[in-house]
Amino acid sequence: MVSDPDTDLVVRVGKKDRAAAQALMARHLPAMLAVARRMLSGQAEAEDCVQEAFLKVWTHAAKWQPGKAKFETWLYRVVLNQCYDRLRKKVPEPLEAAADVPDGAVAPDHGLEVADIVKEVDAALKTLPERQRAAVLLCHFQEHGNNEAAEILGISVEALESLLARGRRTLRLKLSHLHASE
Amino acid sequence: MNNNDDAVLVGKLLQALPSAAVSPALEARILADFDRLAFARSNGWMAHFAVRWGELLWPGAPLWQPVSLLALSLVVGLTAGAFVPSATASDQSFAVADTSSVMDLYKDL
Repeated sequence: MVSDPDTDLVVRVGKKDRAAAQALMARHLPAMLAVARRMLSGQAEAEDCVQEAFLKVWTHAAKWQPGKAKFETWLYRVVLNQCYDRLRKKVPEPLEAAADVPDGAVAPDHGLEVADIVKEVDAALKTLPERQRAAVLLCHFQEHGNNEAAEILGISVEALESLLARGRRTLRLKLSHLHASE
Repeated sequence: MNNNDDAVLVGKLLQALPSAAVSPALEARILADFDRLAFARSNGWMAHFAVRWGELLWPGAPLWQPVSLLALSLVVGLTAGAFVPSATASDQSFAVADTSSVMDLYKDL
């Protein structure tokens, strides 16, 4: 049996309790939107993705079986699957756009603004394959433990660690000029 | 650099990323979905059916929009059916005559 702080709220949502729906949304929307925003390319797309995920919550809440899985884990899976679907439907970006991502060479001016750093980290993240990106985001951005992140991604902890190692290495190479300038 | 160094570095860089702000409009959209489904569940299968079709025809829109569109197209169709003159009797006899002459070609086959 999995202990889940959301069980009560999900059961109430299944009984059409609007206050419970509002509370559940307030509890999980920021984290889900943050992941979707970093997985996808724009705020609007991330918002659509999260809206669809919550629509699934409202639709399935009445059939929710407490104790079977953690609600948050399930919701992350729904959001990530929505993201994967959208990424697969998308036409690949032209190579010129990919070339904007720095290759690790030291920038001419080391005084990078915070906005530039954010832009470069975001761009480097977008170059990672989707599973590596999800693993890195769950563990470093959302600060989940390896066990929890592996459960969300539906893989073993070893497979997660392998994804993380490859993702981190790529990011380190792409962003080496940022930590060189620190 | 080893794996731990990479982890520390990536952790530090990702902490620089701002969290996405949740807009009140998004919250309203999500709650509107909840209200629509709750309405459908409490008003029986007809409402449920209407909501499902509304979602298919016009995703994300309030239910009144697809319902009004459907009602409007029904009114236009009925008006056209009532006021646009139908084919006259002479047109119909031409059609019958045409058919028989065509059929005559195959009479001797």
